[in-house]
Amino acid sequence: MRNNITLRRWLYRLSTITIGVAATSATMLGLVNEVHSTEEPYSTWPITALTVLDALQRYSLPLFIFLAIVIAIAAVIRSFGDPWVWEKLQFILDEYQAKAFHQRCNEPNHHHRVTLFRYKKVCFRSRHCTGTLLKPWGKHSPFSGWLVPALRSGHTSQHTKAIFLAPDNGDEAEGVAGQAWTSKSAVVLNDLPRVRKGGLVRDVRDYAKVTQCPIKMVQQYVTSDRKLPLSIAATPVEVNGKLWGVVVLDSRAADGVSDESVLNYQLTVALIGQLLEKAA
Amino acid sequence: MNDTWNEVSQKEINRPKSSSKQGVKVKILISPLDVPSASRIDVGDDASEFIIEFKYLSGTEPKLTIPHEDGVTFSIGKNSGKIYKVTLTKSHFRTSDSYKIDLSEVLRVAKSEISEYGQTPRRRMPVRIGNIAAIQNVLNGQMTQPNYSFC
Repeated sequence: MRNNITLRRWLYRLSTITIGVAATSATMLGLVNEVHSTEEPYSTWPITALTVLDALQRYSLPLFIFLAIVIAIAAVIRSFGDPWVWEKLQFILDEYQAKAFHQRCNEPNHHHRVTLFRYKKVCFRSRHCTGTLLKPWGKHSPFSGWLVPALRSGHTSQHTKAIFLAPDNGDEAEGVAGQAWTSKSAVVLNDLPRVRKGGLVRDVRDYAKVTQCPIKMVQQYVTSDRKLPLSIAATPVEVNGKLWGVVVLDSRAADGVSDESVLNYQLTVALIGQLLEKAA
Repeated sequence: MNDTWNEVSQKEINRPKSSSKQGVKVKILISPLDVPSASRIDVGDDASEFIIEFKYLSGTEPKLTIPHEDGVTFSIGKNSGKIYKVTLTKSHFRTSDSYKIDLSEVLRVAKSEISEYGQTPRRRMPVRIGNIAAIQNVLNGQMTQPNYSFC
């Protein structure tokens, strides 16, 4: 998830300045190397200036290498995308959540959430429910294709690590997010089985089957006494006409989402796609 | 040139398909981004062709012109495979004695050509099933609208 927005903003600004300064320094260094301090008019310069000139020329190669490394690091930081875009995306998700769940505005935000998942062909970092400490991606290859959480509405439950398999073989796609991704359609589920700790095993199985989640994932939620959503909707997000990811709405109310939660927000999802053109 | 775009109602075009799985109601909808936000029909500058155009909310992308059978040309989104334009030459409608063509005939032919296009396998150009279904629904809706703007 895209957290630490202040740090990200600061790093982005620093990297922008760094690239400018480093590129100017490299150009200046190139010019300094053309100077012959024994010839006119440079030979008449103050001795301190000539000493500095001489030192710069002597260490120009390591200086060039240093500047190249600095530019490369700054470019990598910039490649993560402009934090401004992510701030606006956060705003849009918050507004989407507020409007789509406006009838439940008195309930905590994290009971009714909007999450943006991004498709990643390769994912080493996030932990799948079948994963272990040494093999966080679990029984599937990290190159299988994954839907990874990128941003979530509200300020709570931001530390989710739930990822869903979205492989080339669509039958193996996990979760409602995976179903929407595979079918390139919007999917809406209501009245999901109520699964609680100490409840029926059949409910866990049914929940997993309907949502296409691994049973282990549902069990992990139940064991840790976390509430599972009772209604879920997912709709694809496109960037420049290409499928980028999925927006998922989930609610603890059985009728929390409906087809209108998707159809009435076509413009919102399109806008998310437009902004993502400028993000990483 | 017809500059008037006719707005497409998402709710009318994108009706959910409901089913039940383990007693849970499952609704599948065409991705809202596959449904055109507007459409228009026009005749070409030299009045030799009919052009049906679709506009989408999902932004701009490069387009490819793909000639199809019977003098039909499709303008397809390079990345998405969405249909942006269908061009039907008037010769497509030639009858033995005249060029008398009504709008519903144009829409009917366009619908059938789009359906044919959707079933033609292409190696590099993806076919968006949802987009084709949405466009078919849009054309169906227009066939029942006698006052559809057409110049």
